[in-house]
Amino acid sequence: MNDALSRFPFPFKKGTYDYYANNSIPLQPPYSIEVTPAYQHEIHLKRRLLNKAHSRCYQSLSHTEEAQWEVVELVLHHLTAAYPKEFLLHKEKDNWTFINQLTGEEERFVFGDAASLPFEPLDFVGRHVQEDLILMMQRDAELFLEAGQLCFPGNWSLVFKLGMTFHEIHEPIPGFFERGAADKIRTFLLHMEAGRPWMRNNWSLTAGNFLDTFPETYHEWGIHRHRVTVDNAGSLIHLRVEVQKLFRLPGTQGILFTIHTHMLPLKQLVRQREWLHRFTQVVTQLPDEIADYKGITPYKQPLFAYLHKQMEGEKEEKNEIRQ
Amino acid sequence: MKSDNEKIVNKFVIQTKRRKFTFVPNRRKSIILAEETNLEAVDELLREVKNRGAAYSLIDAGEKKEIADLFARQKIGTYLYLAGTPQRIKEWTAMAVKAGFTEEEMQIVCYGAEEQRLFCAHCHHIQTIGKEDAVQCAHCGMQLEVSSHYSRLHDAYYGYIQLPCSDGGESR
Amino acid sequence: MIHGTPIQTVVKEIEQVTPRVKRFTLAPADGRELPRFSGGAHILTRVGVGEQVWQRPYSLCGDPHIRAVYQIAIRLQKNSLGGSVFWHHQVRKGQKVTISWPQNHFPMSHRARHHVFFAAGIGITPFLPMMADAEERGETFELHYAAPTREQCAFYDEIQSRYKGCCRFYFSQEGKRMRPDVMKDQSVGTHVYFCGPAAMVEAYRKAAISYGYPQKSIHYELFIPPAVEDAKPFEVELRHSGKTLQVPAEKTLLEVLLNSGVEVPFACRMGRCGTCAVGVAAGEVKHRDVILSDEEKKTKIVSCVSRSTSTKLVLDF
Repeated sequence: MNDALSRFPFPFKKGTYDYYANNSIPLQPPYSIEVTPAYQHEIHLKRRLLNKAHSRCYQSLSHTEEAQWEVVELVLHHLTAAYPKEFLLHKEKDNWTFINQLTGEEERFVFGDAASLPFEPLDFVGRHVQEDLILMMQRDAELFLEAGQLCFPGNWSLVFKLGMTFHEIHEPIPGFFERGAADKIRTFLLHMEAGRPWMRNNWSLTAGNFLDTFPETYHEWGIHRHRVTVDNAGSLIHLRVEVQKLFRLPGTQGILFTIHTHMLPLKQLVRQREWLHRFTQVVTQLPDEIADYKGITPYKQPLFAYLHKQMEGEKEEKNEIRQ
Repeated sequence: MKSDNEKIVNKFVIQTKRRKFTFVPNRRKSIILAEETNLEAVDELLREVKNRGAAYSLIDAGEKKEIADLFARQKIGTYLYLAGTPQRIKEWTAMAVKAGFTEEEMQIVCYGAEEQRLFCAHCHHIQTIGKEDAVQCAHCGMQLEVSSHYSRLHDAYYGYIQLPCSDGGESR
Repeated sequence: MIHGTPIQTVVKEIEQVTPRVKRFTLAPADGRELPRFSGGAHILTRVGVGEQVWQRPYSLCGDPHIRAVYQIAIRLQKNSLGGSVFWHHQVRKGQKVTISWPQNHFPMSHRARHHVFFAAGIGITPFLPMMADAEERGETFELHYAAPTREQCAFYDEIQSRYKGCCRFYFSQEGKRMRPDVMKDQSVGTHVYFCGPAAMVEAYRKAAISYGYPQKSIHYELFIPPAVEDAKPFEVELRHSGKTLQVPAEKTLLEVLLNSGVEVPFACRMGRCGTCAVGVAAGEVKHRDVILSDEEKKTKIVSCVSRSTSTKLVLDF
């Protein structure tokens, strides 16, 4: 396996997938972030998106500032603990200096004083990590999406979902309520404890190698869903996996979700025969309503044909490499 | 940052399905607030309240300020029955929530024109629509598919971008 | 740096607050800042010598802004199973104490227009940081605090000097009784909070409902006892893998499953959330959770608190 393949968080442990389970597992090691070789590229892309369409990528409600500082504290400590050569943090009481060796930046600010930062705290710290950062607040035994920096959405709108409860956010997922998953997962989140982080995966398919699949630009990237053929499926279709890490913030009772999105073109996936088998099983058993929801329906036929060909042992990779 | 604290935590979805009130017994007091007199739902409730000898006040839709003051003066145990058009109900519930009432302490009968607001996925413009399934955004011209995904903050339904070769879907 | 789980601390200070209450100040063993916490939070503490280990939850009663130490106050209980006796008689300055991160199952409401706190005896502890939080946010509150005498009223002077005008004391041996009817004439939007013996909490909860408080405006602290009386060992068979595991008396089913690599999602570990429920194919279960419905109890076990009463339990795993 090459490096990109070996670090890809392939989500299927077997050939079936339970769409309504709480598939969370304890997070080990307990770090909210991961730096991959794509760091420079993704940080650059993130900042470009933030500069170009800020309100699409960043939203917050006014009373989240304290929780945002907790996120800054958590993420910067995790960066320096997990990658001590790349990231440094000096603290002189509330005067913090953060050094990012990968971007060559040095940030000085007064912890707790938003005016000492060029952006809001969450917007600031998110610019140094590949992950999207979503902050839910727990108020009166309910969870609300109250702030987020989202540059790589899987076709969902931060602007529209801001302020929603957990159940309201997930209203569009077919079967999510009827199958009891909504209540089960909400209860799990409400009882999450500080000091015990969790992780879960979420997967989808994307036609085209786009991390930034915003619903605002759906007319631009969505058309590729209709351009898939059996010949281009291997390079056009990507398995998109979001590694979500969940942390309870001890001071404000907020919950931080960090979302690291990984993409793998099918032509690389199929080289792992075991992955190809499991993936093919999962995709061919995909219920229609989930396929619709994940936007797969328009290219289901060419996708199946492509996988069938691969399963038959066609050596298509070689042709694609030549193209 | 947006300052929408009150809105977020307390604003709630107004159920427009309810046509009648259900009397809630054992409350210290009931306040019945109606936009118009002679509403059947209100008359029925009044009969029930009187039958049971419960304490109540019937208030005609008065000045905004007076109603806000009335709400703010209430003690724990007061229950609200609100009947009116969507616009008026929105005003009243906002005032009630500001005073400290919760969803569990009131009932709403909402009548009149059922118009709804639609949020454009592309440009975020919000427009008022009727009962269409698909409309064009009045601001950016994008073709939108009306969904049942609703935001209390925006008081609007989500309008998905519709491609000529329609599919849609949100992949979460 | 961020602490791992659990956190190692040492006892830095012990003060006799009243004849029966001691306040313990815990400092992190490695000198790092402790996690933040909010008013109403508690920590799970673990102390002991040798085989004898006491695991108890205690509310944090210090100032939420202080990151260098945590404070807890413990009353020497008459009917103690040993926890408070150990803390009072055995714990010395410099002693090691293992603690969890702060958890808050008793948070203040964000939509309250006014907070009313009712404390009976040592039930005062969670309200100390809650009042500090409310004061800082500019929210109004009042404290009603019952104790037998002023001498036995923990933190009387501190509360009086800091929150004068917001608190009322009821010393029963002076003939003053705290009564639930204080709740009756509060304005709409008031939230009430109770901490004290179970019977007191239950009486105040019922009274609040009768005055018309919505369920969500009534808050109280409920600690579920940490250990099962007479826990017996049992065997577990995982139906799908055929694996057999032993659950000793001192371990929970959840701990055994996790230790053997079975990835059961879990959250509260107090039988409150139901996340760690697993399917039961055969065997008798003594349910100790507070979440499963009667119907669910027939086929599931909440593995963090419940145990089998038969010698063998077969799980749908």
